[in-house]
Amino acid sequence: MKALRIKYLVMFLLIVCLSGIYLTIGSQWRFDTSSSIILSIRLPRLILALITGSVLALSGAIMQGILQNPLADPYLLGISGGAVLGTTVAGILFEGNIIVSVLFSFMGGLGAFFLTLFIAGISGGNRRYAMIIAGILIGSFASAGVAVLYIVFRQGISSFFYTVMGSLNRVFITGYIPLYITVCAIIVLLVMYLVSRAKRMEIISSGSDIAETSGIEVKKEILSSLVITAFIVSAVVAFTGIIGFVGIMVPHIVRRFVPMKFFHVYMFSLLGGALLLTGSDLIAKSVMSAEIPVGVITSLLGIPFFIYILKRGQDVQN
Amino acid sequence: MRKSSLLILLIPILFSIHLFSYESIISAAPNITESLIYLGQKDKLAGRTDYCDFPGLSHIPVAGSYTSLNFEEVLRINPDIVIFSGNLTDNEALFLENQGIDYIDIPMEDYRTVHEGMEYLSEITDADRGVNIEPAADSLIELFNRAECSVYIEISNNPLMAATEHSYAGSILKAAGFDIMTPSAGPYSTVSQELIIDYNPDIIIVMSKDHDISSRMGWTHIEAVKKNRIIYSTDSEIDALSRPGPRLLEAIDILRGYIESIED
Amino acid sequence: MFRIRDLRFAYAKRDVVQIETLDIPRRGLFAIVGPNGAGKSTLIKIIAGILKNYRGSIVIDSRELSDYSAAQMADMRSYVPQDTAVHFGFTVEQFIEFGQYRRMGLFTTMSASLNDRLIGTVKQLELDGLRHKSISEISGGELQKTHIARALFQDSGIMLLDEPVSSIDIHHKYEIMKFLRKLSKDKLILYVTHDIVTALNFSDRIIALKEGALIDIKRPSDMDDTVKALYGNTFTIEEIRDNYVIIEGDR
Repeated sequence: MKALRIKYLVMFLLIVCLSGIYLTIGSQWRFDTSSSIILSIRLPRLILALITGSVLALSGAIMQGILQNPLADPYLLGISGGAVLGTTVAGILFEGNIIVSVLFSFMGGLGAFFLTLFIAGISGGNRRYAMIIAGILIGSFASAGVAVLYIVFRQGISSFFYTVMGSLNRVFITGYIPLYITVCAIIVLLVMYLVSRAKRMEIISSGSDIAETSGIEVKKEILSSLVITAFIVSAVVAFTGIIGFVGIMVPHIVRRFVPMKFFHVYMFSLLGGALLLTGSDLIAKSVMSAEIPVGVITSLLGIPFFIYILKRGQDVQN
Repeated sequence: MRKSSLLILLIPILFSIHLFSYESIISAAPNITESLIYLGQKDKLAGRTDYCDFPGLSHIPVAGSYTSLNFEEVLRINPDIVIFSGNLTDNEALFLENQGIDYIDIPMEDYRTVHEGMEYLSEITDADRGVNIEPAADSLIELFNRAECSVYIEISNNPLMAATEHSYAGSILKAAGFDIMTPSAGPYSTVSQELIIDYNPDIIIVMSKDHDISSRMGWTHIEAVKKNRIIYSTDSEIDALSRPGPRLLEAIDILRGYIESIED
Repeated sequence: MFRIRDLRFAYAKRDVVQIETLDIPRRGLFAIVGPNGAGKSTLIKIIAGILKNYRGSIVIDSRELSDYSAAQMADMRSYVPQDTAVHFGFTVEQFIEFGQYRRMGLFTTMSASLNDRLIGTVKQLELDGLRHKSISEISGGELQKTHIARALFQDSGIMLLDEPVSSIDIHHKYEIMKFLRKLSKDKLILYVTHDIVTALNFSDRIIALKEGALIDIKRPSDMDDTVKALYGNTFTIEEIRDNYVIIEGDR
């Protein structure tokens, strides 16, 4: 228990330190502390990075538990792709309205997710792999839909690229600050709700019959958790575009260092996700004078990791 | 740099040109289309892109978009030559070579290459109309008030992208004595908000879809925002400012109008 | 009392279970036996409240099963599934704790009295040495005992077990069955087994199912005809030194 407390403290300090660096480092690693830039450009972006990273990592941890699939990740299950399709439609129909954008994103993300689960359900063979293949298919399908919309409505190719590869280089509108805060508050509340369900999720992941007979309404619990997870993922995707692999990398690393209690796995996933994405974005925004989409960095890290999980999964099965 | 680089691009295909004049042309870029029309060669236009929206071209078949050529349509039209303007890809070059169709890329991004490029177009199409743009352009640019001003030209807001001093509009303003925000060597570059705020431009020209730059968080400290020196281009102005060609004088005029509107 | 009336459960439009009447007291050790496909697991899952879309009536303590809330059900009965595999590497103690998750706070802390009971349960099943081991590293018999410990820790009057000793070594099997018999002094323990010999030696009554229908509910000593009806006329029950065995006579 004491060791665990130290781990929490270390994670916390790492995030504080990284945030400090993030706030004071400018383009091409220049140290730069002009207060207006820190407050109005870097701070909002840091908050976006922390929230997005936490949400993506937590959703990975939750889905891996519920779906009993170590490969689950909001990107690999098609949610992010569907959400981007929703956001794009919203952008064309109602230029730039944040609330509408988040709602459309949610509809797209949830639709894509259930489509993925449905396809995985009707397929024979290994469900775990079928689910991921279905998710990648749905995600690609949604991205293709986004591409069609971009071509038809003459949006720039580079805009498409930054949406599909994810970027935190977002322009925030001063007048929308109350709206941003509202969206943040909703996300934080939903994250707290999900963390509070950790013990239930833990029991459900040990077998649905065991959970059901221990007094958990399994179907209701699973459905509400999946829908809420899809919502928070969609909400951040509406701001950032598709950022893949955070949800698969963080929970797997976390499980190596934390006892198998979902509460701690969730908490460390939140912290680890924030750390990973903030670090990745620090690289994305600082290496060059031009911006690199942060999704490029997470994919470069995440795909080798995914292959490693695949290999380890094989070991476990044998 | 300008003349030599243009020549290097032309050399590999020069030998096949001049043997005869081209009677059937596919224009793969809107500025080439406008240049051909200016040169009185509209009748030779056998294909165009969907971006070529000059009035009276609707009967001419579309042979692709600015970013990619429709190969089947090119074969169906079977032109003597396909003319690009900085957007020729290796794949397209390979295809056209294999099909034995002549092609040429005439990049005119920097305004100083427009005159030369159009003269070249005139030559290969046997146009009788001469090109007389450069002296006029230079004298027009002389008319700018040479304030020591810095300019950020935004062409996209998601992601944020700047037109640099190597772009068409940027090169004109640069020649007129302005300092243009240039984060990287190409004509267009993605750019972070920090860099823009750091650069602190005196003037912002907005060619993206955004219509309210001043409401962006953190931008209020920028000189241009403080003094409300922000110009939002209309769609037709954006066309004129992004199609290097015969409308060069119009483009210069638009930019001069922008600068004058600020100085009042 | 535990009463079943006109119970029907259909799967793929075929009746898997149909029982006219079945009354079971609230105390004792009961085995459900029958050949493969007799509907044993289905019946215990219906009673456990896992399979909900049955027709007919199941009344426990003069209240219909469907009227209980999930939490009330958890107080009333516990369940050990046939498939005991657990995919995540929980510790033995953590898994047993699941039985009382209803009484744990967000930070998964238990009251002192609850913790004492947990330690008592662990001792009862002789799992002391394994408390902090990962559930994926223990033997099949130990895993089965861990599952029973979790169900026991749930502290309910009825315990339902699906094939609790089907795939484990004989010494664990007898240890577990003796333990269940001891528990049945003040609980109703209902278990499914395909092994008629286990049922004969460890039950107060045997519930015999065939093709979903109830054939008999009898004491082990009266099972001779039932065994013949279930498995064929060549089988007979013999008693050797207080142990029932089955003899196949066609040799």
